[in-house]
Amino acid sequence: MLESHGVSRMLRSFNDILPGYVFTGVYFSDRYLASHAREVRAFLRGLVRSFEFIKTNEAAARRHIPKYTGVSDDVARKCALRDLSGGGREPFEMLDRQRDLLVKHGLFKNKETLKGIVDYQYLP
Amino acid sequence: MKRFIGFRKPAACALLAGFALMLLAGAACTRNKELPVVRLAYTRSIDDLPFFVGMEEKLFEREGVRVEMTRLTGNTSALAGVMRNDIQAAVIGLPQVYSAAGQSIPIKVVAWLGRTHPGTHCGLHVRKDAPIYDLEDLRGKRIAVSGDVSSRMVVYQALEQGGVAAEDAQIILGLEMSEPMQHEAVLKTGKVDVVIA
Repeated sequence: MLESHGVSRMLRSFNDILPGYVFTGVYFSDRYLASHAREVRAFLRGLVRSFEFIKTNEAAARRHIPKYTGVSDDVARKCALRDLSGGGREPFEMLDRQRDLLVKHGLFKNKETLKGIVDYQYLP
Repeated sequence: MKRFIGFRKPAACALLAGFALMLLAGAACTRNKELPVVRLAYTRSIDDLPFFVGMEEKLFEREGVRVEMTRLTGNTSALAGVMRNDIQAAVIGLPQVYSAAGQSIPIKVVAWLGRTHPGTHCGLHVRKDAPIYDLEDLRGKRIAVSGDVSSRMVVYQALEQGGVAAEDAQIILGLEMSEPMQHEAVLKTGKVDVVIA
């Protein structure tokens, strides 16, 4: 949203360079998951409800941005939100494209797998 | 006498109604306090919007959990907090998930916070008047990248797509730019041509 300040313009977005780019996920420790599965499921039901709220009430959702991020109301109204249509799940093969680029450009040595560290079973 | 009773009945009703409301409010408050708490580390990123919405719209509470958010910067401190159970959940970048997998760190990513789309604004930004219109124009340009591995990867990929060898651009590492104003200031100095924001 830097261009909204009038100083810059965007040359290419992350999405232009790699469509469907995934930035972040939310994690718990294995120990907490083993002992508090019910709480994690409740948390994730709430999170998925949030995704739905953002998709169906975008303007209302955007009003919560300034309080937590410090950006102005104006930026909060216009900034690009993420595509939440995956409901918290993203296909492994799509995620691995980013890993492959990290390896290709010498930023990662190994092609690690996400199989043991991503777990969608707690999602509704 | 009738008039007197007529006056007292609504008053009594109002009192009872008020009392009932207080009980209900108290019960709701107690119920919220009794809900299990999940402490979540968040950043000031717009990507964390689903958490903000869940908190403000009480969507987590409706599902039976109270979320408390703690602002933490840096993956290491968040991970340490999660492993100590000071906090229960945190946000992690995809590259760090692969690193964690490689080190067998006992965590699980349970959901992703969305993906980019054609309207995404995050990317390579240039000064408004810079003569940089295509990726091939990046040849010889100074590109400021923070330590973030994702940003470096995107720069290298952009250069490749533009047919520019990485050594033909000046990649300036280590500029910490976490706020829009910092990106703006760096561009304004004219010492760099491109920032990732």
